Amino acid sequence: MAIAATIPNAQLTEAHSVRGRELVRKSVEPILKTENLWKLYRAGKVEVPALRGVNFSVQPGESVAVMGPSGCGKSTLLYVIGGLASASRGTVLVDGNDLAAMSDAERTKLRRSKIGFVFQRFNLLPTMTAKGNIAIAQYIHGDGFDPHRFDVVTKLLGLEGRLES
Amino acid sequence: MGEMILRNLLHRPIRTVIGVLAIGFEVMLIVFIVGLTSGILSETAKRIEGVGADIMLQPSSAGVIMGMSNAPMPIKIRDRLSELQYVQSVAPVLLQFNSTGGVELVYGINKTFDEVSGGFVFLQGRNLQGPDDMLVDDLAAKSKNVRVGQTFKLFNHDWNVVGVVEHGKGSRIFVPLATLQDLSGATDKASLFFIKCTRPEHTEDVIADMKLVFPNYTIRAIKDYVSLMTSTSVPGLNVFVDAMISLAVCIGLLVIFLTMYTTVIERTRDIGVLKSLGANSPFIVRAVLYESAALCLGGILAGVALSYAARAGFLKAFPTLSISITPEWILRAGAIAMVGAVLGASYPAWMASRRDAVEALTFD
Repeated sequence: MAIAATIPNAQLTEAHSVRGRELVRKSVEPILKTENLWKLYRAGKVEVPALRGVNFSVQPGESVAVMGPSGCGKSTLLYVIGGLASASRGTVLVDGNDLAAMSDAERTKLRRSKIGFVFQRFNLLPTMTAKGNIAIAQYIHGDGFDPHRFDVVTKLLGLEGRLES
Repeated sequence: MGEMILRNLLHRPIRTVIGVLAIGFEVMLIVFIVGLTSGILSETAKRIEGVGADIMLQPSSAGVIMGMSNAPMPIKIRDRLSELQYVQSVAPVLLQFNSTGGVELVYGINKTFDEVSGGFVFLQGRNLQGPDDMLVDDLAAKSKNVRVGQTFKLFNHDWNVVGVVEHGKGSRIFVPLATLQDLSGATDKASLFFIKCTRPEHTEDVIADMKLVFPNYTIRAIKDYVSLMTSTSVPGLNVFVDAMISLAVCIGLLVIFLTMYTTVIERTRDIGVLKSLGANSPFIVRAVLYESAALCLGGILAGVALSYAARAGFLKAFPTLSISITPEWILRAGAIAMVGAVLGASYPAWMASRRDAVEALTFD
């Protein structure tokens, strides 16, 4: 079942940010926006729609949870808006960049600089230590290994004592 | 990336060791085969050069490897050669293969051999005198465990070992020419003639005269012969060496292909993770190729060690062998192995780079 059927667009297009106890409504460009987003999977000769015309937007600083029953297309939606999978139809705008119009290489570049993933399964590189998993991400970003940034991140995550595990 | 490659290799130590050994075997096969052929040829050339002659005359059918032909010529040729200007001495030699206890060439010689070569350096015993006398060089004596005074059976004939000589003069075993002629049914025949000129500068003049008198024979200056004795210039041998190198490359290529293919399949999810982090296709390709290259580097080192170990083992078992392991061929074998490893890993690398990120992340 497509995600559009389970998540009312009205709920998703509202932008909120919380500053202290005050709820402030903002009128800025959405950081993420989908328009008539479709994703079709092919099973033999049959096309199975996982997303059917999804429309929603997310404002900068906004936290959004996507909820729905198993198989409704939540993961597919995240893969498409995360640039890991291409859309079959429609547009996905991430910070003004249309993922649907991008090549795989362009999406990879955007993913590297603007998108982070937290997987349901940890999806760490099993042959490497915690330190190595963080360092490889830095390496892929093309920044090289930055010890200062590494220390900041590991302290932030409370990983100082587990880096070699 | 270096740490990732190292940890990936250490993650499956058995597979890595098998890969390294296979590449090592590939390198060893190339280095050892080339070393063996070059060593034997170079050593043979040195021994021919060590005779001290300036020119040799062989039948037209004789190949570059002298031992490959024992086609006899009339021994009377010696008299005509001796009459030529600038010829100091001529030594007829009858060659006979002995394949008992290893392949070797036996020289049937007479006293003229001493005139051309300047005589043997005796470590034990004396020169040939009787019809059943035999001389062996020090290496043959060691490998066959032969001493002066012993009887040695060769060509179904009992020989008396009368002397052990320093190696380096043509063959390792010398017997009287007349006896060998009788035994091989080549009475008054010789396989080749060594010619000593009055001065080395006259070699070309003598060769020119010889070509007029013996137009249908193979005449070579010894210095030219020595330069011809390389594995790449000997017809047939270079084909054999090329075939062995090709075989070695095939082994290495297939092993690397299989190793990297299974590695890529096993790490499908890791590839998905790397892609989600923003790794592009060239990064994935590089990661696979670098891992293959690292594996190959280990294999090259193992191959060099295996080559020296194999040489030590062979020389212990066959002391008369000459195996020439050269830095040039170690580098060549390493380069060949590296090219094979990169080629072998190319398809798995391409396959990994083309892998759909979502499918890779959900792979079990």
